[in-house]
Amino acid sequence: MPKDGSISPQRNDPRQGPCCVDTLPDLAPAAQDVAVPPDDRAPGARTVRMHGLDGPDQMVPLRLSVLAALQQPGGLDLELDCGEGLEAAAAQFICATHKAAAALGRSVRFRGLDTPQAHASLALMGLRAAPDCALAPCPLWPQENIP
Amino acid sequence: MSGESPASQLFQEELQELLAELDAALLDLPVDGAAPEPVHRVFRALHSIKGACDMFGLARAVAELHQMESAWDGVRLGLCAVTPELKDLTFLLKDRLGPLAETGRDMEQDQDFTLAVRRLAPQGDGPRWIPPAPDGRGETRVYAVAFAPSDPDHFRTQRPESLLEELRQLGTAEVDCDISRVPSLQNLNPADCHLRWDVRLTTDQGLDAVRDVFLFLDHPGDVQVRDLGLPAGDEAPVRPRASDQAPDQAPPRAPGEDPEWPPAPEGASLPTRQPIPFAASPAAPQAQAASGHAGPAPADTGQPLAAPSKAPPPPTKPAQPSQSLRVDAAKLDNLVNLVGELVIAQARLSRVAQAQGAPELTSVSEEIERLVGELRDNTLGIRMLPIGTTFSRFRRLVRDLSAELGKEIDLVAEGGETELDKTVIEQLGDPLVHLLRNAIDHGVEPPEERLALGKPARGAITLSARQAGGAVYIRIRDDGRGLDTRRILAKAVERCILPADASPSDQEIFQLVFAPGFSTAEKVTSVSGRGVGMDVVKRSIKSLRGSVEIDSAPGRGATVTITLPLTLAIIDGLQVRAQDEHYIIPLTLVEECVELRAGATGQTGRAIHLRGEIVPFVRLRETFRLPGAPPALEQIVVTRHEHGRTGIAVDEVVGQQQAVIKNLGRYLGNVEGISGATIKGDGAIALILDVARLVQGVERDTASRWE
Repeated sequence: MPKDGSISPQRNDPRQGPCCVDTLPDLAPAAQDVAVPPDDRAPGARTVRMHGLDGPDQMVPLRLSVLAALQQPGGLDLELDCGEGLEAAAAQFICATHKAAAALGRSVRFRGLDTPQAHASLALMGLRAAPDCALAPCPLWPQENIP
Repeated sequence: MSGESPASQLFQEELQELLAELDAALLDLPVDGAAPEPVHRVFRALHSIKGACDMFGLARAVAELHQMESAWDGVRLGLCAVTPELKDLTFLLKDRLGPLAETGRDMEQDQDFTLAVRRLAPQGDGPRWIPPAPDGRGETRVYAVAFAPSDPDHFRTQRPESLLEELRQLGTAEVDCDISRVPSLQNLNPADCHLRWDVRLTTDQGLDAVRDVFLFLDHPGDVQVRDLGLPAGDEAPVRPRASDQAPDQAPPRAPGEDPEWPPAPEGASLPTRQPIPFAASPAAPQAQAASGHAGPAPADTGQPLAAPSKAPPPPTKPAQPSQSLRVDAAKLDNLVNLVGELVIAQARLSRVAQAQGAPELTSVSEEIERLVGELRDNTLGIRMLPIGTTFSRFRRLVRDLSAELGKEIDLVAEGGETELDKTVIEQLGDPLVHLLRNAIDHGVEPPEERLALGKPARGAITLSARQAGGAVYIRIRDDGRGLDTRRILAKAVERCILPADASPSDQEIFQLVFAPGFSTAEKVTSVSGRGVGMDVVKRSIKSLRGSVEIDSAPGRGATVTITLPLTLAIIDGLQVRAQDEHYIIPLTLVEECVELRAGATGQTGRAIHLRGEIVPFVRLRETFRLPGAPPALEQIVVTRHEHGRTGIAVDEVVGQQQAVIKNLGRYLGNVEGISGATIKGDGAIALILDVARLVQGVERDTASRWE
């Protein structure tokens, strides 16, 4: 997986160089819809792979890419690599992305937050704050955790 | 240390650095000791030293450091003041740890010292201070921890989740994260932290352990720890988040509590939601000013980590992660030598390319010349160290020596960031020590004498450094009594250095103090008076190719100015030729070049008229006994050196050249008039002239011939 914060054009093809976003016609059921009805996203949904959430330096270019993708019509999928958990900076980035998408009236969903490692990180950081988020459902508050 | 393990060597090096930091932090403490940041620095240094010693199992050192750390923790919490006794004991502990940094062996237990430190434990009506139990454990209590990082670029230096993980390891933690202040992605700087945490921690580890988790925050005020009492009571829950309550249900704000604290990182837009009331951080006033919010001063709602101070300290620059690499100095010297060889090889290549005139070769040669130049500058830059590393050790010297002599003296260091070659800095220490000891002993008057003269009781010695061109100027200035020219002159006459009817200028009189064994002191003290110091200063500075000058006004103090070259490895020189030999004259000495036609000097022999001034000159051919006759048109390089102005007559001025200095080796050793050699582009050797000594030698020879 690229760790450089780049956006790869093909899923699971790290040989492809940095590029813009691709289209994902099929959405995985584990993905979580946020803010906007799901049918708004099809058929032009884009996927941005957010593999650069390892540190602020990598998030700077990623931020510009995500903002550019949010300017495009249609929904947006953000694929996260949370195999080793999630850092506070990454959680903040996700929250900010969610707020930006809501402000622009875009549909965005975050994939990869449903791993045990991600859950453990979110719990460690006390991110059980869904009621606090005015844009519920909060991406940092996985649906299945709601009592 | 060669037989020690790398880890042990690393520990000793680190310990030396930490002890230097402790020394500096102690010396930075203001007289009233009230400023929180210097107190934090002392505490952090003690804590880091303790941690380092603990890793190497130095139990006795750890125990004593722990006692001292507890005493400073009391200061940090505002429970007791920084007393002279506490400072002295901390200095004493630092001195006792010094040998440990040399040997790596644990220190001897000093019962008296331990008892003395224990006596300094905070007492009085303040919050109860409980010395930590040996195992660090106590009764189980509940603490409310509010953590809101406010330093810009927080995520570059810190990982809050690690701190939360550490808190969890202390006991049972209920963590609540507030994301309400996170801005939209458009306004987000990913390095700033907009998250805030409230933690309810139940632990038996004690308040210190909880605070220690946040010990290395750049803004200590970003965390607040409150003791909520025993778990059974549970009367004081973690403060509810403001966002969980209707505005009219929000907890009453204490008088002066700042609703805008903690400030959002610079550049971030603040949300309009009500933030959690919190204690003050050092950055708060700045944020208030920026936002135009002029609320009352923040109140102390809990136990702040910083002791109260009269004025808020200036905001500190967030610490950047260290990117330094520790390299053996010998490897660095070797690298510089290799670069020197490369410079010489490149000069040869340029010469060959020029001779052959092949465009491709010339192009490659020019490219290599450029790269070698960059490599040379960068490599020499690695050897450059800030002179402040030397300055810092003098603060302790001034403190101790002035106390010993019953004087009150402040040392003001300026320009500590000025960089000098490592070798120069290493050899500069002793001369500066001599000059400072002189200033303290002879220069600055005792307090009562100063008051009688209308001066403040506290004297000041200013140690400053600045760079100009290829030289660094180091100045030691005191506001004491200055040099007594009459006494110096009388002493010089008494010692037959000058005739009784001599009337030298002030500058000439000042130079007399550099004479070996010269002293006007009535008595020899443990500090000075033997007349050795200034002679040593002069010799040491001269060996660094530098010079020393003194300026003084009676009753207003003295100023000693040391001029040093930036580096000892490479100099800018003027290449000249006499017969078939080439020489380098350091460019810093060269004033101008003039032509000398045969017979122009007439009967005057060894002097030229230069714009109304008579300038003596020496002829290199004669000085070095080169065969052949001088050309009809000679060149005179006019130089300015410590003994005045002298021309050097040569056959030809070849041009300016950077010279990589090589010593003459032990077989040739010390040759009068020659300070070293360099290798030219064609592989030939050019000698580097020591103009002052060359002229001195010629003068001496001439005088002996006359006699």
